[in-house]
Amino acid sequence: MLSDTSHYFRNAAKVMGIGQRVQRVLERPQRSIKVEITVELDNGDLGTYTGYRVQHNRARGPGKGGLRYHPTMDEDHAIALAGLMTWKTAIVDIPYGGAKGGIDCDPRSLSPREVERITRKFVGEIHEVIGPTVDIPAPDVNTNAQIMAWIMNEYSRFHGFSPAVVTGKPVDLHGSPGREEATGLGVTYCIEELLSRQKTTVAENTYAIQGFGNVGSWLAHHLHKRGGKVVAVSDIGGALYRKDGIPIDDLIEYFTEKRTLEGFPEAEAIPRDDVLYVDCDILIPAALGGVLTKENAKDVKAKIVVEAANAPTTPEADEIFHESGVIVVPDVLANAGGVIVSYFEWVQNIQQFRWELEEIRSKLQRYMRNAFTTVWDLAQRKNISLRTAAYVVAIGRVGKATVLSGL
Amino acid sequence: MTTRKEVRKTERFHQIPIFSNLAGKEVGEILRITKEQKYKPGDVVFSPNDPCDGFYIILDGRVDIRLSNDKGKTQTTIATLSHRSVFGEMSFLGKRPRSAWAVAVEDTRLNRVDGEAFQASLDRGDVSAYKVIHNFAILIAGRLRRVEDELLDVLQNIGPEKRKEKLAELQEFRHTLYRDWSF
Repeated sequence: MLSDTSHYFRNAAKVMGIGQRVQRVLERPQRSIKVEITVELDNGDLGTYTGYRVQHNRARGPGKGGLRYHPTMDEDHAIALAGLMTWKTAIVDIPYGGAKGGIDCDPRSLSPREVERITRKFVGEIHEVIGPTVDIPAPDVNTNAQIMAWIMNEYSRFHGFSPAVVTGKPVDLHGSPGREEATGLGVTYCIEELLSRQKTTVAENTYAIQGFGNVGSWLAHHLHKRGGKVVAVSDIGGALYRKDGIPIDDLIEYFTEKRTLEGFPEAEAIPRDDVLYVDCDILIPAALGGVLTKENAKDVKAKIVVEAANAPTTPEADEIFHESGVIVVPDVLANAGGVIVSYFEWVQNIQQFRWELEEIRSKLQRYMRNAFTTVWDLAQRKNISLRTAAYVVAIGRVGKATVLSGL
Repeated sequence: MTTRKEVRKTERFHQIPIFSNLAGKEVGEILRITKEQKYKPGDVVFSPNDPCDGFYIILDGRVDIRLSNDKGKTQTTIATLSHRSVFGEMSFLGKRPRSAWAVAVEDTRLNRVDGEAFQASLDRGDVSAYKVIHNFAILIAGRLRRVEDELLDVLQNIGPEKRKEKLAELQEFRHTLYRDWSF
């Protein structure tokens, strides 16, 4: 998945006929820092970890991107993921560049107090290179609203009250309403836009969703609310199927209580991976990367794939879909709802003024609609895939910002 | 009267490029104004801004020529010279103080041609001295040609031509964005 981003980037650069030097300027990260974090663990041991923060491109605005806590975190990961954020923020046209970072720790083996100490120590090391006008971190793998709250608090010790230094904060501490549902709702808006161009509606189609975490469950909720039939869903333990549509409200209630889909009485259990191959109009991978490959792409019956997860389709599978006329709505566009509402949170923090949920939803819809329209129209006009078009839009916006500000 | 030892010395000096076309007697004239000097590894023969006391011919050993643009904090060796090579002639010909360091890198024997005496020889119109000057001209012309080649290399990579090409790519990119790929 690390190389996928640069594969798609180079594809688009080739379509545009961009020279090697300019490609290099756009691809290389602008700043990458690495810090050592030493903390006392609860048992008296010394824990040493390495923290990373990469700012890939700040031509369009301050860096924006998640912080992940994972043992495999390293600089190469951070660089690739920061690049993805540069393109994503450009595609949905929010005034940010791309950034990413994290710490190579495993939070599951740490107590909350240890995670807090590591987080505060990390902020102590990087507070000079982040900030509301420089680089704004957000939650990512294994990080959450509580960790963002600690970051805000620690950063504010150095720089004064600064809620806008991170997004994804708890709603009770300068977070934004609607952040939880943002990615799933953004995917829903994206699907609405696509279907309206095919002269149909959410209610007239059927859906299969892989993954029932934050994104998958909110997506199912919003599709269901609009009359869409979600015929299959899956999580790590298994999958459910019901031809006339799973009653999603009941399923969410069941899942909230049991933390599993297994045993839900109102749908039929099917093998977990069959969620990808069931008869439906739209398939939405909303869990892991790399699930649609050259081996299984032919078995997908849906005519539309919407990438709610990051990089669920390998480049080979993408090629197969393109040739067989399956429309793929790429991750950089489809799942950008999260970062868009992060942007709204930052704007509210700077304004010191909280918006209503309805206002956030309508603005999210506007941003998703504009982004989708731009990408769709370009793809039609130039006869290229939505993914290539999305990357062209990204390169175009970052490129214009770069040449206009003077290289 | 020339001794056998002096003849051998003269023959040896004929192999040095700047004395190559001098007659035996003429070599003798130059040899009379030279003085042999010995250096240990690391000994400095001269430093930048030292007054010029003539030029040197390496009999044995090796000498580094070093330049610096920050008062010697970092020195860059631009050449390591060995026997029969000449150095120190730039400052002599240009009538300027030394511009570089000359440092012995091993046990080294040098012949220093005394600057004032050589100048006096030129002033008298001695053919030997003029032949040496002519040889210096040939030497410096060869060196200049090499520097030109190197300069060409550098210019082709970062020089105006390359710069134009790079700017063209950037211009082209700008056009691409606004002409072909506007959205």
